[in-house]
Amino acid sequence: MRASAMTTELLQFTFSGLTVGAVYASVALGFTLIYNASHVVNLAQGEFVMLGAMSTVFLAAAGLPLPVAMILAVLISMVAGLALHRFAIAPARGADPIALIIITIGASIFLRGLAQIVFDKRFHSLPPWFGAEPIVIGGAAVLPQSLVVLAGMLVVLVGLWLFMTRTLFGRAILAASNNPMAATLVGINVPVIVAATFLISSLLGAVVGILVTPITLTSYDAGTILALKGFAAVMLGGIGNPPGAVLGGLLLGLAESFGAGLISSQYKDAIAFVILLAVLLLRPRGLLGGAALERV
Amino acid sequence: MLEIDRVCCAYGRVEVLHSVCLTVEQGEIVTLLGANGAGKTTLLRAISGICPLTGGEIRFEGERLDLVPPHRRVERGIAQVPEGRQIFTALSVEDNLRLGAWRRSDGAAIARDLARVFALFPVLAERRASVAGGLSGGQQQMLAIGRALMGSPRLLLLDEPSMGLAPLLIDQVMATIVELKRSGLTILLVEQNVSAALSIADRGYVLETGSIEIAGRASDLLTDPEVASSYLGM
Ligand SMILES: Nc1ncnc2c1ncn2[C@@H]1O[C@H](COP(=O)(O)OP(=O)(O)OP(=O)(O)O)[C@@H](O)[C@H]1O
Ligand SMILES: [Mg+2]
Repeated sequence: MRASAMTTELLQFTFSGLTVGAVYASVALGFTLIYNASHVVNLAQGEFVMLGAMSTVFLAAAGLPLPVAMILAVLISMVAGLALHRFAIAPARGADPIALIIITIGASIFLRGLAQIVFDKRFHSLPPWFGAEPIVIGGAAVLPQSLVVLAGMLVVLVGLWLFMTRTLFGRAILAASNNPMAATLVGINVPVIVAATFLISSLLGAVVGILVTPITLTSYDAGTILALKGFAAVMLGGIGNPPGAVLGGLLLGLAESFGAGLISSQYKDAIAFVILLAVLLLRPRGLLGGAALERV
Repeated sequence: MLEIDRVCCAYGRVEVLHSVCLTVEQGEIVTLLGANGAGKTTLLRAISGICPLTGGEIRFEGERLDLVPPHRRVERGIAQVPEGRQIFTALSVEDNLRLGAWRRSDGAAIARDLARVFALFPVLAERRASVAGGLSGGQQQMLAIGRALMGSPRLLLLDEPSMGLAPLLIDQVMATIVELKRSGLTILLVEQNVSAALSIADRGYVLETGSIEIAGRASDLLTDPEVASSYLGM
């Protein structure tokens, strides 16, 4: 009896960990795409998640049908992604990495401020897709929306993977990341490719942000902590390594969920930073290995 | 075909090409020689647009080339095999070749050129699905040449294709270059292997610290005492 209650509990932690982990993974993957193409560490990545979620909330409140609101919200986030590249990153081409990071921090503060004015400072939720009644899986009570988040994440990952490996445009993105000079020589317009990675990353963030809002709620400043968690996930998985980013995100979600459940939920956010520090000290290239982060 | 007219290039504030003039006529192999750091790579980079000019101009088939954005120079008919190969190590051999044709949309002709590259370098066909980073040095050089050919150029720029290759492979690469010339390609070949380059070239230039010091027919350069003493080790 006790043993099975324990198993149930662990299963419970696993589901909630994977759900939050999917959000971290999407942010981490967005980071990685942009970093690989341009060596920009985009700390505004969390704002794409926030913009997707908050825009959906307010467009729906304005009377738009929810699916329409979601699609528009994703587009809004993508416009923000393109604008970030066009007006903040592209003009600073050739600036050193630390300056670029500061630019993205500035952009993130700007987007947050804008959200505070255009939207408001309260917490918001969205209705879950299939009701709020938990489904019992192996004794654990799972929100149907958790399954929506995980399924959505899976669809996005498979879609992105197919795009990158099966289309010539996807391979051009890989080529531009792999060797920008050679990419230019074969006629690839590298700045356009970099802009495309901002577009894809903002899409990725917005989609997952919208899916997870019924569970985690959202607010104008939800992006800040997500950017930090996503960054920790990237370091955990190995910077520049897309599968590593996804793995790092999921592991971080699990670590938080188990830490909160087994130790104390007070320390939930601290866990990410303890892990980040441990990885930086013990395995600076991350679990799956990647480029060492350039010392700046 | 190609006219380099009083071209200057700089990295930061250091000028490394000082008013360089050089021409390549249709159907020629022209070789550009010179010691380490003379500026040979920089000149090829200037032609491809990777290094912006700080002075002078470049004309290709009578039109200003230096005003064309770098990524649009392939479709003008110029492809480069860069120094150190610079293949896309993370991608497959076939993807490298297909990206060489990135600017083209003529599917049938691309397929024909791919078959031609595979016929020229059968080992690339064998390893078409392998990750390019796993190829040997010689194979990577073939891939870099193949990728440039996939752009369907009329002028091919080659930067030290013999670098790091065994003598047998060097002969093979030089033979390939001659074959490409026969098929109608015009070639500008940068080499440190002076005797190999001069033996296949029609004309040659010697660049010394950013200025052209010697120019002439390849056969004359081969017997030029100055070239012989500084570059042929005689
Ligand atoms: N990216 C760069 N930044 C600054 N200086 C550079 C850069 N690349 C080359 N240089 C300098 O410009 C000069 C010309 O270099 P370049 O590479 O064109 O010579 P090269 O003739 O190709 O030499 P090698 O035979 O070694 O390839 C050298 O003094 C070199 O140090
Ligand atoms: Mg060189």
